[in-house]
Amino acid sequence: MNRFGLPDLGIGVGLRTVHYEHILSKWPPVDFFEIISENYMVQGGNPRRVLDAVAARYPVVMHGVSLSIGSTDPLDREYLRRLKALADRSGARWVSDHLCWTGVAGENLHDLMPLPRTEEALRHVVGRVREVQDVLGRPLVLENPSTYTAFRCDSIPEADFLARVAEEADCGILLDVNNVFVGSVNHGWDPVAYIETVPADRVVQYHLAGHRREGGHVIDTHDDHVVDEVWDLFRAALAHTGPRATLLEWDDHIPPFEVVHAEALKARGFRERAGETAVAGRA
Amino acid sequence: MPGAPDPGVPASLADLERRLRAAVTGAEGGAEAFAARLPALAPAEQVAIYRAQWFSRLLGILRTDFPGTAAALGEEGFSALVRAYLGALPPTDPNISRTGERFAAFVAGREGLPHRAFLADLARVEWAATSIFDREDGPVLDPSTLAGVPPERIAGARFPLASTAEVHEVRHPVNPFLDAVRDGGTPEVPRPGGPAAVLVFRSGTVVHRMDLAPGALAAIRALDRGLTLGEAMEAAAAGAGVPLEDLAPDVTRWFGEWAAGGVFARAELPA
Repeated sequence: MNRFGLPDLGIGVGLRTVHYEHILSKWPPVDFFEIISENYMVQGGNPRRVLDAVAARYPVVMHGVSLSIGSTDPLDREYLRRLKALADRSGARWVSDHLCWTGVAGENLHDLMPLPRTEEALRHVVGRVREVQDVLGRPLVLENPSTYTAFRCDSIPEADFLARVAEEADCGILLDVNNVFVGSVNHGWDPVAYIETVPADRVVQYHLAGHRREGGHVIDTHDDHVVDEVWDLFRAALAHTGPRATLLEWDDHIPPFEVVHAEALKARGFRERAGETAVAGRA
Repeated sequence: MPGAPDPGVPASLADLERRLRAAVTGAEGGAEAFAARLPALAPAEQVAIYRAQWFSRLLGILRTDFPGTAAALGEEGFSALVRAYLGALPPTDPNISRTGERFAAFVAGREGLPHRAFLADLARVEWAATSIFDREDGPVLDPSTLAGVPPERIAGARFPLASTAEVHEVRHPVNPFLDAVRDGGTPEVPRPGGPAAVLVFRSGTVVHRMDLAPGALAAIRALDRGLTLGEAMEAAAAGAGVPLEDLAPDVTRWFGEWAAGGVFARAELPA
């Protein structure tokens, strides 16, 4: 159990436009849906209608991409107001976003830009997370994004940076196991050591996803099945934390719902074995 | 020189973010100096990944929202136009789906753009369809409520447009072009002409585009200005340049289609 008392929701998939018709007609046996917050921060229309219908039947969690927690621009108060309103309306069990910045000087790059891992950046992010949590009235959950840049000014290993942000801001962690793998290839760190550095009781949710190899580096594409190495890392992560809500991310070249769901359900066996191990450990 | 700042160390977090943003959007280089070499990625390659991701993501969004404009320009032309657009009007909204909000106006003002007038019409109608799809639900007239209402009262009623309906005057036949692109065709850029306007409206969860002849345009503009249906019929006849009695069946048909499609917010019947 995480320290926030947030539930283990089981296995979920993203609520994607291309799957709306299937979901609304079949009401598939999904444990929870994750929504991209900004897609539903609209005035109305189809997205809101679908969300209302889905949220009436399934637990929903929110996952944003534009909080820009690491930006040196001031926090967008109007964005936070709308984020909180969406959380209240949808009954979202938690609100997550990424440990990154998405824009500066008023411009939104719509990409997860890398933060330098310095004491200055750490203090900056911690302060902003606390402010956001005050507005939302709940813990924020931050995801480790894939990064393709290391900075000469970096002074803190990434896993430690993530852990310290979470501890000092008292927020949750969404551990993206695929991103840990991507980072281990691109940055050369030990992925298991990374996972073991993350405070287990702050992990609220897992992400699993596919990626693309490009020569010696990896690009986090979220457009394919999960590879064996990532499943192995997931096993190691579960041994560290125990079962947690787990989501299969498939954001591009999205196949039919059944394919995405089947991929997500592969996590079930890993979770069950982790649960058995946890029970055996307590016996 | 002793004490000189290291060009590889940003002056601050804000400095690093500004420099990296500029490098990613192509405004200027230099952020590579901040980056450390990775096992398989040199500093310049690291920044290049972000630069490619930034552009491809936004290009993809705009291609989705403006398929007709993209088809008319071709991949290279559309890509160049998008790059110019992003440079002139970088996105500021947290929702990536708002990236194209100013695109139609940018196209209309783009000096030297081939077929600019057609593309401006096209982009404007395409954005209307996109924005209406997400628009907040508002009141929509249920045409069955008019059943049994005497015709003279209907003629004296006002029918304001629903918030999910827009009229766009055009000088080119954009609807056939968009339909052809939607169906996988490669239509040629049309000459000026065709219908006077396109009515874009949402019916349930589907957004429709309907051509409006001059008479229909005059009628719906009159209704949108708050005139009664009878007055709108007169405006339609004037707009079409034909006697009212000749146009009345067409106006009746248009009104029926618009009412059934959810174009009107309500019926304001006379006392």
